[in-house]
Amino acid sequence: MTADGNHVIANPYSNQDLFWALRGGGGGTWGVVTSVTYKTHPSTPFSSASIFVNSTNANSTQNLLTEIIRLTPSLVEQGYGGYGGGSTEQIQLFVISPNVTAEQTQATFLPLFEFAASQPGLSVENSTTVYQDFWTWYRSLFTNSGDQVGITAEISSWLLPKDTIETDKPEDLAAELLKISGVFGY
Amino acid sequence: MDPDSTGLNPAWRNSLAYTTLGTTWRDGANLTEIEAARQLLIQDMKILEGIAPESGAYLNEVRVPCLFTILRLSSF
Repeated sequence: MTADGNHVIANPYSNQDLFWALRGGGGGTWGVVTSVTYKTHPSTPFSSASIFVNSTNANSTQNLLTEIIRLTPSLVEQGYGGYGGGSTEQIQLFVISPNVTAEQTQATFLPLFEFAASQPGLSVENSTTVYQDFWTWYRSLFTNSGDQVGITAEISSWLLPKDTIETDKPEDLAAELLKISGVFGY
Repeated sequence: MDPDSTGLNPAWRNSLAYTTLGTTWRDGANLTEIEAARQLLIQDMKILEGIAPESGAYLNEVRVPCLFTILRLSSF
């Protein structure tokens, strides 16, 4: 339903400009989407890794964030996606990939887990798990997220290009991110 | 898939990480308090933009100075 009150069909053949904008621009931005047709894909297992760290040592925090940044290009290459972030006092990262085995995930993350354990002042919880499908993973993390809608907050964001992450020194990037006064998401 | 077939911000195509920042205020805060919280966010955003000046943002979580401009325009 467009702003002028018309109920229209947008697909590759009619209203192509609206269809182009909807895919990427956000469904609600261009009108009220009342019905969609999706191409679906077979359910697949996801291999996951997570690390949650509390820190009393700012150097250790920065060292760990440096290693996470250093690992990021290879994680993206292996199809991992997820959430991370933190501040000087805490760092977290939890990611999943449909493209790798449990053994590959362990091999990828063991060095990071061992590095975290070697740093003074860090209290570390880490794990690797395989979830039978995306929904099982989602439910494991977001079971209570439906209770609250709306919050007095404002968010802002910025994309970090491949070039920046690969060519800047990871330790410099970590130092910059930790200058942020609040908690950042990565 | 042809990248040009969707309206996705091209900055997503060559990005590895998506960084987000937030600021909150108490229920019932007055405009002065809200503006102070927003100034913190604006300062923090300068750090992210300094890291990658040529990059972009996700429209639904747009960078603060842009949102500020939109809010100002819509309130007049």
